Parts: sequence; structure tokens; C-alpha cells
Amino acid sequence: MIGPRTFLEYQNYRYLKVALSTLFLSIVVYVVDDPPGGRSGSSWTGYGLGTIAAATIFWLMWLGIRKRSYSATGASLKGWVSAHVYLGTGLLFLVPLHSAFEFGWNVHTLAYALMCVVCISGILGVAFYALVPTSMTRNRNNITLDAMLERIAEIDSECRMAADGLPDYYAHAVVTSIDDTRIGGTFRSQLSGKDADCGTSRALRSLRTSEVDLDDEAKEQERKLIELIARKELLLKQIRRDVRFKGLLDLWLIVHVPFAFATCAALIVHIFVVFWYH
Amino acid sequence: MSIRATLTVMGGLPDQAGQVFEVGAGSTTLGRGLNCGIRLADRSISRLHAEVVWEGETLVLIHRSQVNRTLVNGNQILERTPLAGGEEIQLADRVVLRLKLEVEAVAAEAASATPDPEVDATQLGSVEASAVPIADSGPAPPVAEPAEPAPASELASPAAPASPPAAAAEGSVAEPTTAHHLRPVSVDEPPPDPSSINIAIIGAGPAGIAAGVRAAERGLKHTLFERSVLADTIVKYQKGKLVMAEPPQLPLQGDLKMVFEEAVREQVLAWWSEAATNAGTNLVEATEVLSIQGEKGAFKIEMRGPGGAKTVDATHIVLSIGVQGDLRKFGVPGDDQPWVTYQLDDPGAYEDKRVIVVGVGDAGIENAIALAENGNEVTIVNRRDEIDRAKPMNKAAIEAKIKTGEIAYLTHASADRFESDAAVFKTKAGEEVRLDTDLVIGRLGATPPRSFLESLGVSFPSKDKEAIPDVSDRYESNVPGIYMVGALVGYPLIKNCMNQGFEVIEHVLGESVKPADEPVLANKFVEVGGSVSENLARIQEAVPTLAPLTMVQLRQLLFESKVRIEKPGVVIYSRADFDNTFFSIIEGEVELAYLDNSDPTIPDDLRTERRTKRLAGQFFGEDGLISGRRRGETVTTTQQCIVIETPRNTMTKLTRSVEDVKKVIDAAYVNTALATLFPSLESAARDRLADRAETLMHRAGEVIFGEGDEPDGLHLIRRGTAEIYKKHEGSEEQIDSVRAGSTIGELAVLHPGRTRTATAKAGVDCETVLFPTEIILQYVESSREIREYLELKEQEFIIADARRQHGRGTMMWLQKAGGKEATDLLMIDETLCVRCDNCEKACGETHGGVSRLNREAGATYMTSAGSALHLPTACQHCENPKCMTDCPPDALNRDPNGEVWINDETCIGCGNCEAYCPYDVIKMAKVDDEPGPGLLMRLLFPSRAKKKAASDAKPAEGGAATVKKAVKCDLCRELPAKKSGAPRAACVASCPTGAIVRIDPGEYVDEIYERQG
Ligand code: HEM
Ligand code: HEM
Repeated sequence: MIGPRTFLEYQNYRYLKVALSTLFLSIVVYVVDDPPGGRSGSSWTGYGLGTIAAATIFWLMWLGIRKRSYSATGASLKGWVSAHVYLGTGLLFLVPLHSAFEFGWNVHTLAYALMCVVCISGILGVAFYALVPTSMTRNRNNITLDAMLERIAEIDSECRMAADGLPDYYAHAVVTSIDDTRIGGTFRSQLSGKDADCGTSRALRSLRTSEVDLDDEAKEQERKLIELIARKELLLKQIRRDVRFKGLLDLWLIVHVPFAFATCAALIVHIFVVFWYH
Repeated sequence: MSIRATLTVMGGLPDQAGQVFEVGAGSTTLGRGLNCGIRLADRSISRLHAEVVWEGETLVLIHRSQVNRTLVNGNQILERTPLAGGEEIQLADRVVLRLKLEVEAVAAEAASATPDPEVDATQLGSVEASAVPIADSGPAPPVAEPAEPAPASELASPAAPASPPAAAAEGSVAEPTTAHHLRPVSVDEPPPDPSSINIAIIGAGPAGIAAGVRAAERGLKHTLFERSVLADTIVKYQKGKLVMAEPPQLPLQGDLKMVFEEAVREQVLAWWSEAATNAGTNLVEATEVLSIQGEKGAFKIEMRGPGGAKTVDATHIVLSIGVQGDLRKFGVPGDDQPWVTYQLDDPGAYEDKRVIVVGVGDAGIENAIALAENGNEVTIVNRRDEIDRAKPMNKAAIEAKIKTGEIAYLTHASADRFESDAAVFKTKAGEEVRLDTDLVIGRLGATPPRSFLESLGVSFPSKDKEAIPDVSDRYESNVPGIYMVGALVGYPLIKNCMNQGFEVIEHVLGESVKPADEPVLANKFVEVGGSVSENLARIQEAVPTLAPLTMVQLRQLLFESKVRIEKPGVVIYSRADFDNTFFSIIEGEVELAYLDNSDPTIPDDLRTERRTKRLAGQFFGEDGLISGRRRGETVTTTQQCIVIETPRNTMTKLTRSVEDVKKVIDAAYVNTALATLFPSLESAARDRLADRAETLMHRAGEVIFGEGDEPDGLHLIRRGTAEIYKKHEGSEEQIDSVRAGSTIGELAVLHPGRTRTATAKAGVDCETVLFPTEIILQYVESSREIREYLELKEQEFIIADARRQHGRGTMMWLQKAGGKEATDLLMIDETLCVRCDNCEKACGETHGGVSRLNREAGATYMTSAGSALHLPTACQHCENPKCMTDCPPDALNRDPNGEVWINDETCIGCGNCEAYCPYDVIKMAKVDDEPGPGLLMRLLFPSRAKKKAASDAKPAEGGAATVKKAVKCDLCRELPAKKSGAPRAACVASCPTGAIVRIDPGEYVDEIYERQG
């Protein structure tokens, strides 16, 4: 087997196994241990599990650096991500064990809450990673984004030629289509994959509902123009879908990373606080 | 109404005195350069000295020269000044022009002479050689005619000029019995009387200039003729380009008074023209040689210069014309119209013109697109209907423009004649197409110098179009008196050219001259001991393959080779290594261990090993030389050995120029190939087979044999890849591709009387060795081994056929996408790729900011099971890398593991490899040697870090030294290899999802089959 396999399958699920066995051991320790004063974050087990969790979090943060060390020689980035995903998810369960399922309105729980946001966004990210690329490839249909944009520019110049000699009404439609068509824009409009006020759709509508009287030759020209604009609209849809997919692949990281930093900050405060008061 | 402006030569130019130039619309350039609208042939003037530009109704003079002055009415102009008419314009110190402005009606003028007032002749002049002189009262053309022809040339009978081939036969050259005898030999003759010598040096490149400088210094009568301008090739470089001085270890001839070292273009040009001026070289530019008649001592050279055609005499001729050849001309009536040109220097100079570009090669397409984008009405004309000689990117671009109608397209048409304002083309069907036009650009390719040389009687060692003509140790060709130096005889590097230019003059004088490479060679023989000449003599005596070489060739071979002394038991190379140097044994003995290939069904690691010996005087490594494939054998020394290790390119060049060397190596190749296929075949039988075998060349796409054909025999592929097709339900489908070292066409031999069961086509340029049917049949009957081999191949074929049917389409797709010659493919599983571009970033970061990988570009194959496999545009490390075809400094290398890499220390940035690569994976870029912003910087200020990289990559403006070098994937050479020894690729290691992998293309097809279930 030489073809690429997903990072989830890395080394035959090595890190899933690591994460599960860590969790299993933690549960065993948690159940077996019955410290004086009851199970809590301040028991020895609690300290132990907390330390493991904190170390894991800092290691997870390190991924941001590893991702940019292009000449790193250790394991491949794929391996790192595999471990990141499984160990990160494991934290969701490890931390409650650490705190003995005690939560409250305090900085400790804030750290956990932030961490949950990070983990859930991460899980979402993995889901996007699994689903979006295939749709994206399908949508691209073997054409690069640059080629699509180039094709649009070509259609624009063809439209100009096709509108040549037709009444101003048509020239206006072509100009609307060329000047008022935007790709991208705000993050929201990128994610929506649509543009309600797209110049090209408007141009197409106005062409289809045209009431200008035309002779036969001009009619033929009109038909050609409509066909061009319709083709452009289809292409635009395809491009917007592409942009949307790309947006989906990036979106979750925009939540993931800042919240990861926030988690760390809260965590540091948490550790300070517990030692301050004890 | 319009204003007519003219410039009259008032003084400083005796040859052009009184000449009147018309200033055209737009801008007109003045200077000595060939491309100037107004050409002023005086050495004191800069190539581009000044420019006059119409800005509305005013004419403005702009000073352009970096070194020489421009004055208007005695006042020096530093930048620009408007002109009112009547001024005296002084260029440099002597030349004075007077400007005249007259108001006149256009109509009358247009009717009389110029086809279109918008594009008058003068403006076209900025493309053509020179502006059209309106009144040429210049008395003498600037070609310096020898004042007193040498007595010898007067004696030459002008009545019966011997035809060139006859001249060759009459000369001292022996009868043309074998290629070997045709080789020019240096005959010891008494040195000629220097005062009788009159040398014509043709071509003012580095070799020509050096020869001119030396000849002048030696006080010889000489003339250096140049078709365009001094050092034309370098003049054409972009401003500020660095000219490299390779190879670094080669010194220049100490007595040559011509400076050269690595420097920017302007500096090099300044050095050289200074050298020519200081030595007093008699340089005649803008003069083209048409033919050469006569013989040594009395040549008559017919040439055409600004003053028209003329004939000059010479006793000796030095050809230093390079290999670019002449641009092909239309050669139809009217092609002397001023608007018919063959070059386009600045597409920006045209706007709103009707332009016809003839020719759909890269140059034609690029011109057409640039002109169309500049708002011209462009028609492109193709002699056929396929656009197949252009790069894929250019092809796609022009097809798009043709489709949108931006560029008109005329197919199956060739120029028939040019009338006063129109071009007439004839189509294949015989129709005439008349196109009104302002400008015609013929991009018809170039005629290599070969036909010119052959017309002089110079013989070539083979029909190979890249064959290099022979010269003697004194650079004399087989035509006595005609000497050849520089790129023409296979030495494209500037330093070699200069040295040879110097040496050739000494040789003409009959002086002995110590080659410049002496210290380098001496250094190679330090360990061996003895002087250079002793060692060279010993090599020629010991190694028969190298015996036919001239001393010049042998020295060059050694210059580029390594001399190795190895102890017994040393492995020189191992099986499956990808390097491809060639070894000649001077002393000692080696053992070759190769695998028994007689049963193709046995996996490689289970095959038995066979051994054979090679002795002093023999060679090894010919397989790599011919096929470019992995090494087929492991070579171990059995005694103390002295071997010469020669790079593949050097050897290939040699086999092109020395037929005998080629023959010997080819025969050895066939013999070894047979030995691996049929180990028990006696060597006498192998020799017999090798003797009857025939080597065939097939261009990419050509049919080697077709399904249903009568079989011609068994083909052994010695180079390239053959694709096997079979008809399935009416359409041809590819079922297999067979690489060098294997045979094809076994079935028809095994079953006499049957026709071919499949079609074989050359996938890339291919060479096969054909063993004719009748010979092979004798062995099929007598040798069980051959019979068994053929039967096994038949089995293999049937299995392949069945298997490929299964994965229909994938094979063809892969071949189309370019995997056919790959040894290492980068593949992205698009279902895993999250488009984060970390691979490109990784590539850029590890390679000075320039990514050699374009993730998005390239083809994608969607398998029926929903997978999508994408081949991004990146180097595939081809089996026979085309990029390595012509690298002047040999900066392209191939490692034992197959990787092809460019040494950016020695790369001179000539762009040959970029042009040769059919997959567009080589880029010319300025590489940033600094390590780039640190990780922390990149993390904190990603945008700033990126901007820095981008601005670094942008070539510096103007005169600063910039050298763009060729870059491409080098499999991350600078990173340490993985534990397994495989190269570590930053792109692969940096993919977060593992979507990108490097694979062997064979495995890739397997992968697709597997995915399809
Ligand atoms: C070096 C590592 C850690 C140490 C020494 C540590 C220590 C403690 C201690 C002593 C308590 C008990 C506090 C109390 O009962 O007032 C506690 C509770 C807690 N810790 Fe940690 N902890 C660590 C890491 C973490 C991590 C990584 C998280 C999650 C992000 C976390 C989340 C919590 C939570 C949610 C509680 C319960 C707070 C509550 O009772 O409301 N701790 N920890
Ligand atoms: C507290 C827990 C976590 C922390 C602190 C954390 C932190 C990070 C950081 C710093 C990055 C680097 C982002 C970048 O620089 O581009 C990252 C990436 C990532 N994380 Fe997490 N993460 C955590 C949990 C998770 C979990 C639970 C998952 C999934 C189940 C996950 C999945 C990912 C993925 C898929 C990436 C992207 C890799 C890439 O595309 O380069 N993370 N994380």
C-alpha cells in the first residue's frame, strides 16, 4: 500500500490507541484511588492527571510551531496531526477526571470551557477535512481557480464584442455584469457561497426580460450574449462554491487557534490560583 | 496635415555624410545598434545613443547613452529637450545631425511611397535593421575592403571558381573511405609568411573578438565580419544581467589582451569593445556572408553589408559563427518590403496596427499574444493546422485567443508574395488569401549553420542533426584554410571560445601554443604521475575507443572527466544507481555483476547474478550512457585500476562528433543486453546477432510497429519508452508501457506467419535495436533459452492485457498527464488535501523563497471509486531528462537515486533547460541565499515575512547585478536523508493530512487499480 492514507489512520491508529489506553489507565487510577478528603483536583491523583492534561495542552500548542518548521527531521507532520487529534480529544475526558467532575463558576472551569471550545472546533475541523476536499475536487472538475477566473475574463471580453452594435440597454447589462460582479468579499459572503446582488445575475435577468425591438441579426447577437452571460453565471456559481469550500476549510481554525491561546492563558491562571490558595 | 521631420548627417560620418533619415511616428531610436531606427555606424556612438519621440505635435530628444554625450546646439542634454527644428544634434564627439521640420500634406506622400501614413517605413525601421535612407549620397560603403589584395588571391583564377565540394576534394584531404579518414589532420607545413596572411574572421562573438584582437596584435592583415553587432548574443541579454565565467577552474590564455570575468552585461560589452578598439581590430558590422569560394590562400567571400553586396579576398578564414544559425526568410516576391520583418524587439512599440505573425512556434505565439494585448489587430498564420511545436502553455494561450476571436487564425497557408500594402497567402487548397497589413513578422525558425558549412565543403561525422563538425588540433576543418572555433565546434562557454580564438591565430601563423587547460589537466594526473602529454599519449594508446579523438577533443574529455585510481575490491557503482557516467579503463581490471534477465516473470530480487570482466582498454557504463536508465550492473575493481570517469553529456557530445566511438559503444551495448537476456548464448552468437542488428530512431508518438503489420523482427528498446496499444471495440487502448532494456514484438517472432497482435508507439523519443525476424528465427529453433524467453514474454503480455483492461483509461491518462518518463512522481490525493498550501510553503522555505511546486496546476484523475488523484506541476525526474540536453556549464546533474538537480553555483542562467523541459517545471528565478525570516518572525508577522521574500524574489531594477538561475525540485537535497536512505521531501513531510506522496509511477498505476477495486 503506497497511496496516501488519512492522518486518522496513521501507523494503524497508533495515537488512538495511545489516547485510549491513557484514558483507561486514568479511569482505573481514578476509581481505585480514594484519597482522604474525597476525589478532587487537589488530591495526588488530581495533581497527576492535571499535570498530564496541562503537559498535553502545551504539546498540542507546539503543533503551530512544528507546522512551520519545514526542515524538521522527526516524524512527518501527518503523524503530529494524528497524535494531536486523538490526544486532544482525550483531554475532553481526562480533565473531568482530574477535577473529579467538579465544576463551578471559576477560572478553573473557564479553562475547561475554553478547552472544550478548542476541542469541539478541532473535531469540527476534522469533519470538514474529511468531507470538503472531495466536494471541492468534484466542483473544480479538473479546472484550476486561475483558469476559471481567466475564463471569466475571456467571457467578459467576448460579451463586449457581442454587445457591440446592440442598443445601449445591452451595453448597460454587460457593464453591470462586468463591474458589479464580486467574488469573495466578507468572510460571511464567502461562506454563504452566494451573492444576492451579483451583477451578472442582474444582467442576466435584465437581458431575459428585455423588451427592446430587434431585427433578426441583432436577435441572434442577443441570443449569443444571453448565452455568454448565462455561462458566466454558472462559472461564478462554481467559483463561489469553491470559495465557500475553501472558507469552510479555514473557518474552524479561526476559532481553534485563538481559543487555544485563551485556554493556555486561563490554564496558567488556574495553576497559579490553585497554588496561591493552597 | 502633418509634420515631416528629417535628420541629415552633417559631419563625423564620412561614409554616411549627407544621408537623410526620416523620423517616423511615435519614437525613433538613434545609435550604433542594429535595432536602432537611425543607425549611425561610428564606434564613438553608443549602441542606443538617443531617441526622438513625438509627443503630440512636438518632437522631443531624449538622451539614452550611459557613457557618451548628446548635445543640441552645443548644449549638453542630460535627460530630454524639446526640438523646434533647425537644431544641430551632436552625438558623442564627432557626429552631427541637423533636424529639419516641415509641415506638409499627408495624402500626396502616402499615395506616392508609403503604404500607410500610420506606419511609414521609418517606424518599421526600428524593427528592421535600419531606417530607410531617403537619399543615400554616402560615397563608400563601410565595409573595409582589403586595400591591396594579397598577390595569391589575385592569382586565383576568377574564371572558374571551384565549387565548394570540389574544392574539398582537391585539397589535401584523403579519399572519403571511412569516417575516420575524413578527419581533418594537421599537416606539418612550413609556417606562412605573416605578411602574406589576410584572415577573414567571421562572427564577432567571444571567439571571433579574441581572434580579431590577437590578429591585430600580431600585426596581421585581418577583418572581423559580423552579421549584426559586436557580441550580439550578449547585447541581446536583458540589462544588468550577470554574464557567468564558467568553468571556474579554466584560465584564459595569458597573452590575450581581452578581459573577461564574471560581470554584468554592460561591463563585459565594455571590456570587449575596448579590447577590439585598443588592439586595432578591423571590425565590420552589419555584414552577412553569403558564400565562400576558392581555396587556402585565395578565398573569395561574397557578402552583403549596408553598402550592398561585394566580394572580399582572404587567405585564411576563421569561422566563429556560433550555432544559432540564420533566421529563416520568406524567400517569396516582395519579402524585401520594409514591413516584412523577422524579429520583434518591443511589442509595446505597436498599437492599432494590422499585424500578421507567420509561424506558430513559441516565438511566433509569444509575439502574436503580446501584440494583440497591446491593441493590435493580429492574424497568426500556420502552415499546417496543428499547433504542435509550441510549449503547452503557449499553445493553450493562443488557442484561447483564437477562440475568442481576439487573434485571427489562418491555417494551411504559406506566404506567396507581398504586395505594396498587402500580404498574399496561398492555402493548401490553392486559394489565395489577401490580407491588408501594416507589419508582417516571420517567425519561421532558424536554419542551423550546418547547410552553410556543408556548402563550404565542411564534412560532418554523421547525419545526426546535432553532429558537430571535426577540426584538427589546429582548429582547421577538412577544408584547408578554413578554421572553426567556439560553439560551432562544440565549445559554447565563453572562456573556451576566447581561448580558441586566440589559439587559432597562433595556429594560422604556424606557432605552437600551450593550451590554456594545461594546469587543470596536469592537476588531474598528479596522482598518476607523468606529464600531461605523456598521459594523453598513453590514454590514446591504451584505450581504442578514445584513439580516434583529436588532441583537442581528448583534452576536453579529460577536462570534464575525473581520473580515478582505485584499489582492488572497490565498488565503482551499484546496480539500480541512477548516475550515468561512462568509464574507460586505462589500467587494471573490473568485474561486472548483472542480473539474469532471461525470465521476466521472476522478481528482481530472486534473479541470479552473472559476472563478466572488463580489462584495460575497455570501458563500462555504456548502458547508462545509452538508455539513461538505472545501472544494470554492479562494478567492482579486481585489481588496482586507473579509470577515467566521463559525464554522460560529454560522452554524448563525443559520440555525435566521432562516429567510430559511437559504433564501438553501440556494439558493446547490444552485446551486454543480449548477455543479460540470454546468458547461455555464446559470445560468438551474440556478436553475430549484434552485427546484424539495426538501431532505429523513433520520434515521440511514432509507430514502431502496428497491429496487423507483417513482423519485421524483435525490438530491444535501448532508450525511451514504448507504449503498447491494442484495439478494443474499435478504439485503441493502451495496455502497457515498456521501458528501456526490455524487448517488444516477441509474439510475432514466436509464431511465424502471424501478424502483429498489438501496436507499439514511441512514448517519448525512442531508440530500438531491431533483430530481423529471419535471424531471430534461427535461434528460436536452435536455442531453448531464447524460445523460453519469448514464451514467458508472451505470458506476461497476456497478463498485462487482462490487467490493463480492468483499469481502462487510467494508463492513458497517466501517460497524457506526463508520467510516461517519470522516475519519481509527486501525487496528491485530493480527497485528503485540505488546500492549506503548506507543501508550497515548505518548498519555498527550504529553497530560498521560491517554491518549485505548483499544487493547483496539473491534472486530476477521478477514479470510479470516488478517489481523486492529482499530479501537481513539479519535476518528475524524467528517465531521460530533456532539461539536461544542453546545459553549457553542465550544471544539471543526476544522482544515483535518480534525482535530477541543478547546481546553482555553476548555473549561468541561460534558460536552456527551461526551454527544453516539456512539463514547464523549471523556472528562472532569483534565489535568495539568505536563510529568510526566522520562525518567530514568521509566526508573529506572517504578512511582513512574506513581503520580504516577495521583494527579494523580484529582480532588482536597472543596472544592478541580477542573475536569474534555473530552479526546480531537487528532492530537497539540502535536507538530511531519511533513516531508510530515501530523500526527505519537505513538501511531503509538511502535509498535515498526508495527502501528498512521492511515488514510483508504476506503483501509481497499481494504486489506481487498487482504488478501483
Ligand atoms: C499542572 C496542572 C494542574 C494542576 C496542578 C491542577 C490543580 C487543580 C487543583 C488543586 C484543583 C482543585 C481546586 C479546588 O478544588 O479549588 C483543580 C481543579 C480543577 N482543575 Fe485543575 N489543575 C491542573 C490542570 C488543569 C487543566 C489542564 C484543566 C483543564 C483545562 C484543569 C481544570 C480544572 C477544573 C475544571 C477544576 C475544578 C474546579 C472546580 O472545582 O470548580 N486543571 N485543579
Ligand atoms: C486543548 C486542545 C487543543 C489545542 C491547544 C490545540 C491547538 C492547536 C494549534 C495551536 C494548532 C495549530 C494551528 C495552526 O497554527 O495552523 C492546531 C491545529 C489543529 N488542531 Fe488543535 N488543538 C487542540 C485540540 C484539538 C482537537 C481535540 C482536535 C481534533 C479532534 C484538533 C484538531 C486540530 C487540527 C485538525 C489542526 C490543524 C492541523 C493543520 O491543518 O495544520 N485540535 N491545534
